[in-house]
This record gives sequence, structure tokens and C-alpha cells, in this order.
Amino acid sequence: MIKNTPILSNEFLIKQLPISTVFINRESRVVLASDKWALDFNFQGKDYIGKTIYELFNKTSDKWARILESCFDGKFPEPEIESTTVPNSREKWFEWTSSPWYDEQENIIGAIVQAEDVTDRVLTEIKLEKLQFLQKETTEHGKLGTWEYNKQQDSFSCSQMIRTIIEVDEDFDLNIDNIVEFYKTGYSKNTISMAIYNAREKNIPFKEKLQIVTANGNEKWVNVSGMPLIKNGEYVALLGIVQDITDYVLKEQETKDNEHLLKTLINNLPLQIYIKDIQSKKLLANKSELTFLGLKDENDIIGKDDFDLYDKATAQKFRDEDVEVMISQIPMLNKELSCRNADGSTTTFLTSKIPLKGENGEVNGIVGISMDISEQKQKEQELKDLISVTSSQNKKLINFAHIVSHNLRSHSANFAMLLDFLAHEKDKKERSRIMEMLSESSKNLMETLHNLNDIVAINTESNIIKQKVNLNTNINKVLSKLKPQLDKNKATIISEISNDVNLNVVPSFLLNILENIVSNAIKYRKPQLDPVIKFSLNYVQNYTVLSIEDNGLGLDTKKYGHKLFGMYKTFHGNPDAKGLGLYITKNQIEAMKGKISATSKVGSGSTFNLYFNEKN
Amino acid sequence: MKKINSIFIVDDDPITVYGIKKILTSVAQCNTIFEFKNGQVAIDQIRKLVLENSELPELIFLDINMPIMDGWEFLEDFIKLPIKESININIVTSSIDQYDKDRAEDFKSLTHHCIQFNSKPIKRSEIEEITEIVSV
Repeated sequence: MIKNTPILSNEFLIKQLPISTVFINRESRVVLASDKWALDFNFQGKDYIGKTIYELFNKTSDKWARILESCFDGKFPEPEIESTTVPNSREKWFEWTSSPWYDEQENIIGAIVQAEDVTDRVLTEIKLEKLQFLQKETTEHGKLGTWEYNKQQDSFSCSQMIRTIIEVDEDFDLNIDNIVEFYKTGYSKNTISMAIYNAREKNIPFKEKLQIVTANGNEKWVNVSGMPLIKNGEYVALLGIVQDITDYVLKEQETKDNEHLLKTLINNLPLQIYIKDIQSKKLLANKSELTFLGLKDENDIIGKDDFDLYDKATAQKFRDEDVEVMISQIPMLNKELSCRNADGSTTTFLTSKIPLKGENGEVNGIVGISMDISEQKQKEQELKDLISVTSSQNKKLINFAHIVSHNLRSHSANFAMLLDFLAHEKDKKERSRIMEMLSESSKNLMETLHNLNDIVAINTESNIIKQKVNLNTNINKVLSKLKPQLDKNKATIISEISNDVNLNVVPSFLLNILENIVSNAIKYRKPQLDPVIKFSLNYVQNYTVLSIEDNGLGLDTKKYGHKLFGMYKTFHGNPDAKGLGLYITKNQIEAMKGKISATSKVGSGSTFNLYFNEKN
Repeated sequence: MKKINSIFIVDDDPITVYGIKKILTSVAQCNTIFEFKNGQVAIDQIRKLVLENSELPELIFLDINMPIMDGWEFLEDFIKLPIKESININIVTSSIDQYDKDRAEDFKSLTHHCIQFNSKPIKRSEIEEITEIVSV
């Protein structure tokens, strides 16, 4: 036994104490301990008597020294709770109660330290604390309020959050009846009233999404649920949870509205809009796109790619573009694309493809916008055609006006000059000469007016009535009319035209045109060569082309080509030439929606090609 | 009376030619007046004169609208010829078109020859003025 330590006669009793108790002398050494203490701290069968408390617990904490010191001074320190890790056991919590140890003479000879295992209590406290924290956070973040109605006491209590939600302060006296009044009149109030009634009377729990009107008049959305508490088969209380979901509902509504707006917009735009994923499979297609592809339901297109929808070549073209846009991440804007339809027509699109980027900038598809501009294209072409027709008409008109003014002016200038001479001329012979010239001039003027009138008549719409006539019959008519000249010049006619060729023409125009060209061939023959005139027929596009070839003088088409069909242009100094024939010919064939061209070389004859329009 | 050695009239209208000649002979003494039916025969003759180093016309009356070679085509060829002296060319046309007047101005700026634009009918006073310039 340890020196200076009184022998305890009741050591046996102490060992059997049901509480962990240890007696420590002033040197901090264990003098005695209950078996429970040895058990709790795993000292069973070990030699712990006489060792210092620090050695045993492997602790050097000042706290214990202070606690023991104060016991030695006759004080009673506050109990301490400490966790202890006992080998081979889970963490344990002990409450240490220390007090001075007196001998019979009331001298302090050490300290009595008792340890109580409070592990369960501590763990429960921690758990509760955690739960309380969680509940607080949950109710605050989730805007969750709870209330409870106790049937027996007819009492109503609620959490602060309930008051926050319905916007009343703590002084407001809430009860099971007036809380219903905060629900919006109509569906919400009826539903909650019914639910509470059913819960109280029939023990039915409830969960509803309803609207409330707060004390301040604000409308809010709440999720409200109620649970009747049953004890021994009897309803004793009703628990309620109210969650403010206004923000969520409004956001949801806003999202829905936005989605609806976007959908409405996309579907009603006169543009084809689609979204494709990275594999060019369609994720979305608007109404226009569906209509274009001849589909009714969006589900018929979702997940399909262009190879399912277009021919291979077109699909490949589209796919290549998609890939290009997705790789480069550069939008393709307003590109004109043509694709051939099943019926042979061509549709022209103005297409834009825009890469669709994810949150991290990675491309995960494309948005495509296409506009069918076939109609505009066609209009554009029609407009171009119209402009070309108009400008050619205009040119013709100006040319005609110019010619008319020039011709009339030249006659009137002659009249003016001759009349002036006449006024001053005294010589009789000279006077009669001037008079002769005046009458010649007047004759010329009459002829000019007559010619101009003919030309105007050609271009008068009402005169252009086409009908089917046999070509050979008409050629023969002209040839027999020109027979004297043909015979006189020993002309040879070669025709490759079969008898069944019919043309849709104005008959008088055809005769006039043929006569003009054939008589030109005679007029501009080579002096030492018998004229040969050859007729042949071809079909070019919509035209039936009659070619009339001669072996005459020919002319330099490079130099005169643009003037060949002009008015009053002659090229060979032939006194018979009036420069009107080909101008009239051109007008007549154009009035029949045809055209005329000529190929020629000086010295090697000319070929006139007459294009007869069989369609219009 | 003023004296002019050689005059060319290039016009396909015999009445105009008659008129110009009639006025000319009454205001000046003209040794020789040559007539040409179109630009081609006129330019051929001038080329020949240049080649032979013969005397060129002092005055040319030129119509615009003529067959085979018109007045403009004649001028195009004429101003290219190696002629040192300044020849007086009077365009006499029934055109009053601004386009034709502008075209005459264009030719004026391209050559040292004296080019003047006159509308038909040509007046006695105009021809008097023209002969005045030439005979000085």
C-alpha cells in the first residue's frame, strides 16, 4: 500500500460501488477505484493502483491538474464532460464529477472522482441539435411553416414561418378556424375547409397546392399538407405543413409562358426552323418545316436526319454544311440553296445555319432557318424578263421616234429650202426645176408616211392573229410572185422542207418576210454568179428555225451587223435599196414573238435565220 | 467675190446637194464642187488625194444619215488620215438631236480640223459665214 495513505477499512465496499469511482491522493495517484471504473476504462486485471491519473489516461492536460488542485483546496469543481476513446471500444462520453476527499479529521487527503457514462445522452443531444439545425435551415430555405392543433386542449400553435408566410406578427391570434380565412376565396378556401374537415372527422390526411391572400393582401401559392395524429384509434391532433412556393410557381409560370410564346412564335413564323443535334438528327421542327416536308406531326421528324428526308446528294450537301458550321463554329448566313423536288420543279431557299452552343461553349447542334424564296426568285426572273422586254420596246420606240422625226424633218427641211429659193428665183427655167423638185419631195414624203404607217400597223396588237399555215405552200406563193425576177437572174431554189411542215404565224407577215428575204437575195447577188437560194428547217428550243441561205455579196456583219435590221440602212449602194425591208421583217417576226438573225461574210453570201415561236 | 478652190458635198439627198450648190455659187466663186452619195466614196477619194499628195478640199459639207458609210463613220476615218492642214467640215443634218450635237463636239475635241454642226435646212447666211472663214 502507498505511504501516507490511510488504510480504508471499507475498501471492499468501495470496490463494489455501482458508479465508476476513483480515489486519488494528493500526489494524483490512484488509491482506490470501484470495479465499475476499471471496467469502464478497461483497466480490469491491470495494475492501476498507485499510478498517477496522468499515466493511466495518457493525459497531460492542465485542466485535470487544475480540477484536482481545486479539489485539494476543498472546492467542488463543475462536472466536466469529456470523450474518451477506450481501446477496442467506440468513443464514449463521460461526465466527471470531482470532490475533495476528507479523512476523519476533516483533512483533505485527495480527491474523489466519479465518472458517469453519458455517451447516449450526449449522442442524443448532438442528434437533436443536428435535427434542430436541419429543421431550422429547411423551414427557412424551403419556406416551410408548421402548425399543430391539439383537439383536447383546443389549442393552436404554429412556427414563425407560418406567420411570415401569411404576413402576420406574433401578436396575431391564429387558430384552426381563422387560418382558413387566409386562403383565397373560391377553390382554395373550399378545398382547405373540406380537407381540414375530412382530416378531423374522417382521419384523412391531405396535400394540396392552393393560393392564399396574406394579411397585406399579397397573393401567394402554397403547398399545404395535413396529418391527423391518432392515439389509441382516436384523433387527438392535427399537424399541418405550409410551404410558400410562390417564387417557384411564378417562375414555372414564367417559364411556361416563355416556352409558349417561343413555340407560338416559331410555329407561326413564315420561316422553316429546325434544330439538329450533333449527328444532324432533328430535335425540333416548326410548322413551316413540317408542312414543307409534307408531315403533320412533329414526332414524325424528331430523330430523323436529312438522309431520311431528302435524296442522297441533297442530304449529303446539307450534312456537309452542318458539319462545317459545327466544326468552325461560324454561322452560315443567308446562303442560297436549290433543291430539286420530286415533281421536277426547283425550290430555292435562303438558309442560315447557326451553331448551338452548350453552357461550356461546346457545340451540340445547329439551329437552321430556311426561307422558301422560290416565288421571289420567279418574280425576280419575271421582272428581269419584263425589264428586258420593256427596255427593248423602249429602245425600239425611241429608235422609231428618232427615225420618224429625222425623216419628216429632212423632208420639211427640203420644202423650206426649195420654197425659199422659189421666192427669190426669177429665172423661169430654174423655177420650173425647183417646182419639179418640190413635187418629187412631196411624193417622197407621202411614201415615207405610208411606210411608217405600215410599221405602226405591224406592232398593233389587234393585227397579230396567228394561225397554222403550211410552210411550203407559202414559200411557193412567194416564189411564183417573184418568178419574173428569179427567172431573169437564173436563180436556183433548193428546199429541204417537207410538205407537212406547218407554222403558227400571221399569214401576211410570213409572206412579206419571205418575199423580202428572197428578193434581197436577188437584189444583192454577185454580178458574175447565178443566185442560189436554199431553204432549210431546224428546231432550237421552243423555236422552229427557217434558214434562208444565198450565195450573194454578203456583208461585213462585224461592221454592219448591228445596223442590218435598222431603218433606212442600206449597205451596197444599190439604187433600189430603201433600207426598210429588213426593218419591217424584223418588226413582223418580233410581233409574232419570234426573232431573226443573220450570218454573213463579204463575198460569201448570207444566211438569214427566222425563229418562229410555236408556243406563244 | 470670195474664191474657194475645192469643195466636197457628201449627201445622198439630191435636193440638199442642189440647195447647197445653189447657195454656194451665189455667195462665192467655187472652182470645183464634188458630190458624193455616201461617206465611203468620199473617204476613198480623199485617201487617193492624200496618197497622190494632191490638193485636198478646203471645205466639206457632210450629211450624217447615209447608206453604206454614214457621216460619223466618215469622220472616224477622216481624222485618222495624215492631213496637216485644217479642213473645214460642216455637218449638215436634219437631226436636231442633242446626242448628235454632242457627238459632233466629241469629234471637234479629237482633231485639229474645224468641225461645225448645222441643222437642215441650211441658210444662205450660214453658208456665207462658212465661205468667209474658208477664204480668209
